[in-house]
Amino acid sequence: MPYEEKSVSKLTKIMFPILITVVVSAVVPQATALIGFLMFGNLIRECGVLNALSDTAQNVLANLITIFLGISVAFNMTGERFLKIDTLLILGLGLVAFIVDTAGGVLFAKFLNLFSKKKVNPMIGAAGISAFPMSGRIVHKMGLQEDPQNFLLMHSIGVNVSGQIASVIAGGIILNFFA
Amino acid sequence: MKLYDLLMAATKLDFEPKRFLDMLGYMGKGMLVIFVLISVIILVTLLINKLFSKK
Repeated sequence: MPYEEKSVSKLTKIMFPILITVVVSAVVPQATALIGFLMFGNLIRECGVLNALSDTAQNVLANLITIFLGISVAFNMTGERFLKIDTLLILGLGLVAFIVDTAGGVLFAKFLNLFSKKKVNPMIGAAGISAFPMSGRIVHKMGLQEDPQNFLLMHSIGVNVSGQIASVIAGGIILNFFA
Repeated sequence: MKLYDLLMAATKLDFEPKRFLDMLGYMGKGMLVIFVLISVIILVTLLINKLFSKK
């Protein structure tokens, strides 16, 4: 797939997270905190005057949160709590959701290809899930295995970001329906 | 014995087709909101790219 590099102005990069937060919050208020934090990370990186905060958020803070999250989950994963049919069913549902999502993305990209003049590689549809950036990288790697000149990384990461934003919106919608 | 208990518990799970159909409605609404919102985000991105791009 050809990749056209376009220059994006700094103001556009700064306005993007602000406007996305405003638009998503207006439609799905329950997703404000989720999308706000996602876009806050984007904003401190792109504004260019908070490099120390951005570096900390990308490295130290991200690693610390990962460790604490892992420890918190591990403490709650005792045998009595975890080895229950409900927990295993939830894991199974998650697995089914990932499989359906991945296959659905590829099929939807194929469907869009029927109508668009500029065809896209349907493989990038598989990256439309919240697992960022691994699914984008895997799609890129699988593309390279088939054709060493086939660089899909930029496209698949774009789809992956879209999947991440859609997951945040889906979370907000579920809270809206059932909370 | 534990595996046997788990299998027995799995066979006792209730499946209510009516509730499943009700949930499909929620899923449809959710997917519609996601499609609309992602379309709005694409439009906003195109708009800010046009408004604030380097001349």
